[in-house]
Amino acid sequence: MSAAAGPDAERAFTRLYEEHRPAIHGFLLGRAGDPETARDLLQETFLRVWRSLDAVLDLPVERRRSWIFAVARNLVIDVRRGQAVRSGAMAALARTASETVPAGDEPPARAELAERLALLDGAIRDLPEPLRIALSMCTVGGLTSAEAGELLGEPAGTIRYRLSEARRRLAAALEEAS
Amino acid sequence: MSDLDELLDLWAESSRLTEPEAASMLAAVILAPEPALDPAWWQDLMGRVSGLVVQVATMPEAARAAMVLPALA
Repeated sequence: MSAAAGPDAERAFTRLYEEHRPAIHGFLLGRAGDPETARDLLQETFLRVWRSLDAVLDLPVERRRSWIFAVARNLVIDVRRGQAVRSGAMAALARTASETVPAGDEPPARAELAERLALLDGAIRDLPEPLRIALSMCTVGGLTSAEAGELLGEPAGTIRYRLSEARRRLAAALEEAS
Repeated sequence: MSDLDELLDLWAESSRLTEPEAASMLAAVILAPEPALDPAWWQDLMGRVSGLVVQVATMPEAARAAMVLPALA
């Protein structure tokens, strides 16, 4: 499948991309633990989807996300751990500080928020991987516990426990830092 | 909403792709060139061809002559 496949294929692919990108990105972010690596893997995942578009579209709609998720999971396995690039996280945090803080905030408040976000980011990186994946899939990916559990092959209750444990640890880390 | 909820929302927001980033990724995927020939496949083919050439070059003349199809002789 390629650009020569035509506008119908592009439209179908764009729908898949828009529908499943957040969930897959959430998983990759949690799994890779590094924003830059997660983006590279996300792009590679959808490149493979594009090149296998006919096969994906032949699947029942409810199985497509699992198929794409399997591609993403296999890609992550190929990536060596320990490639986390600190600068990627810092760039994201800098963007957060400059774009998400209300414009009327005084500089000290903005700096304090950026500092707390940096603390949170560090604490998320330090979470055990299963907790980080659950957190990322449900916050960044916008999935429910049941949806995340279905993709990960875990009961929804397990995901809920991991979310709760992740929040407990993050709250403790923030509390300890302040 | 607790302080942690608020921070997590900001963290999630900063982690998501912006619309331009998502559009740029989509374009990069759709416009990506087709993959080149698989290097492993090419290497395997060349290995087989080289082996065949060596085999034919080192076989006795009579055996080599016997390989020629009558129609092509």
